[in-house]
Amino acid sequence: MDRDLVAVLGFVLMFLLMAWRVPIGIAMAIPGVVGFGLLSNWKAGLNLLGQVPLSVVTDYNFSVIPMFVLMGALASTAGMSKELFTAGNAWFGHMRGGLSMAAIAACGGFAAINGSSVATAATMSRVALPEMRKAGYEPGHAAGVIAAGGTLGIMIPPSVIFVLYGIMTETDISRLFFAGVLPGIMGMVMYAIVVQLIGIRSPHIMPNGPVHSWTERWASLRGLWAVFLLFLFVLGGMYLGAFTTTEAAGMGAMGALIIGVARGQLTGPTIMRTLVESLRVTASIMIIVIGAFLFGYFLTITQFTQKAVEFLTTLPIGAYGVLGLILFGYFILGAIMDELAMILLTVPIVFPVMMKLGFDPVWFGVIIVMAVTLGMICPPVGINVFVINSIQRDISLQKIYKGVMPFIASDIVRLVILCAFPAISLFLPNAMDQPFAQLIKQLLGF
Amino acid sequence: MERFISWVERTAGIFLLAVAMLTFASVALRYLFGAQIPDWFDFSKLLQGIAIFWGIACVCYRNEHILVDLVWEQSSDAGKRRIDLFATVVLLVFFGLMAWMLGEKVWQSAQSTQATSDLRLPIGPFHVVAWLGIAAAVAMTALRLRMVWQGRSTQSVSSELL
Repeated sequence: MDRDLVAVLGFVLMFLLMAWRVPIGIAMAIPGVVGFGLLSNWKAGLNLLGQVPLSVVTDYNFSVIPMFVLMGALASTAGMSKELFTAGNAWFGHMRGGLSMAAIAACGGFAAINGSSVATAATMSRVALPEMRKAGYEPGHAAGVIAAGGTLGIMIPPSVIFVLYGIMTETDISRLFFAGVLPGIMGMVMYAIVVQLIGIRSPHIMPNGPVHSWTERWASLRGLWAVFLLFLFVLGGMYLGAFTTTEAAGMGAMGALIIGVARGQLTGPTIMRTLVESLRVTASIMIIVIGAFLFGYFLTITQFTQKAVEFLTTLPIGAYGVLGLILFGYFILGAIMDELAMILLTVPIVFPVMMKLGFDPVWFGVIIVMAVTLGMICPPVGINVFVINSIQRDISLQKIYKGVMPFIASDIVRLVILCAFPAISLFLPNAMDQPFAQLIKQLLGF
Repeated sequence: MERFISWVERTAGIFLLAVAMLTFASVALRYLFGAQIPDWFDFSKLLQGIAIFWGIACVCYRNEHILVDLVWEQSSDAGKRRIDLFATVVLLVFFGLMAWMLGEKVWQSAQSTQATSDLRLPIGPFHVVAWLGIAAAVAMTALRLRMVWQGRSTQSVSSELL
């Protein structure tokens, strides 16, 4: 059978299965196995089912996913997310849009100890959203802030998306993590500016809160030591080369556990509940990873990737034109597809194109994450919006989408800035190689 | 059934914790005493595999898969049931084939002399325990199919931690 035809049919079958509510990972796996079987032989196709899943789940590199999921879950159960919002409220609550800015700051802070956007959005929907509504904030705006703020979860390290991108492209994950720091902070600042602009135009949707005394403000910072300690422990350990990324994930999970137990906020039953939650999330993610690997074998045998690379790199639109085309594709795909699947499915195809065009792999990782960020809040399938809607049922999807629109505009501007100035993303990873960093490592004996 | 699933989830969850503890202990020992736990790397990845496969069984039972609900949301109740039936049958066939093929591979592994690096423990039994997770996923999906057929609980519960 013609390879090109099989490749196209494979993609069609995958999208049809997804539309018919077959779990995304399985919808990727089936055309992978069937297509591989058609182009080689059925026994070889079925053999993939015996080899790939086991090799994926026992790959130690993937331990980063359950460990970072566990770290975020333990940190949330230990009350760290609540402390972040309380501090933000104490410092910004009295300003115009103060609680929105507090929520953004808390999302950024929680993102630093958790690798998932949906987890950030879900956690903050429970912590910040009720407080914002109680204070008289317009529900659509409040939910929009949380949906957008939640996306910081995958930009500010640790990040599950960076981990998957790093594993698939063999790019240094610690460099990717550091590349996400400045764009993440930039996102927080830009979201705060958006809040202020909305406040100027519609002050009634974000009433000012009471002023907190300086004693209260300083007191609110006391609870934040755990978040900073955990963040510094994980990122610092990687930066100094004390441990690898996979080790850092395990260390972070244990660090969150030890801090939570030491502060008396994690007990036997809450730890067990958190472990079970993390297990379920990990299993859901790993089904997609297995599916993506099976589909990857299919792409290899059809030589689809090579043909895509050849086609895209010979387009007469220049390197940035191709980048724009790919980002447009992500924008469309992000509107209908889950973000994890989108990354796992497309990166093996677009990454070789970007490398052939001379782009930096770390910088492109940041750009990919930005594209995914947009997909998480854009209609009709914005997973963060759905999660908030599932937690706060009385805020309709339309209201949340309306509330998140200004932040989508801000994200598009941020994406353009990051494309135009790669140095913003590459400054910190490059600093890892500077003499100063080497000196610190030598002094500490790493 | 709920009690059994709950027990499985807790056991697999403890395996995840064990992976974290092994990593933590091996890094700590490396810096404090220049020593390492024998086979920590092999144990970590094998425990991870067992936890994930059993986790997949639990996800199948609770229908917590990551899905695209776009068409389903727009469908009538009868349409939703048809879609759920189709998706669950596809899932059952897929996991059935996977359990079969994986079973062959695990059987070969159990017959072989594959062992861990330091203690030379056979890894076949670990693979068998992991495979039982996928076999359980087949059973759970069959159970789910019966529930969907009877018109019970078609709604999935999306994971909020993801």
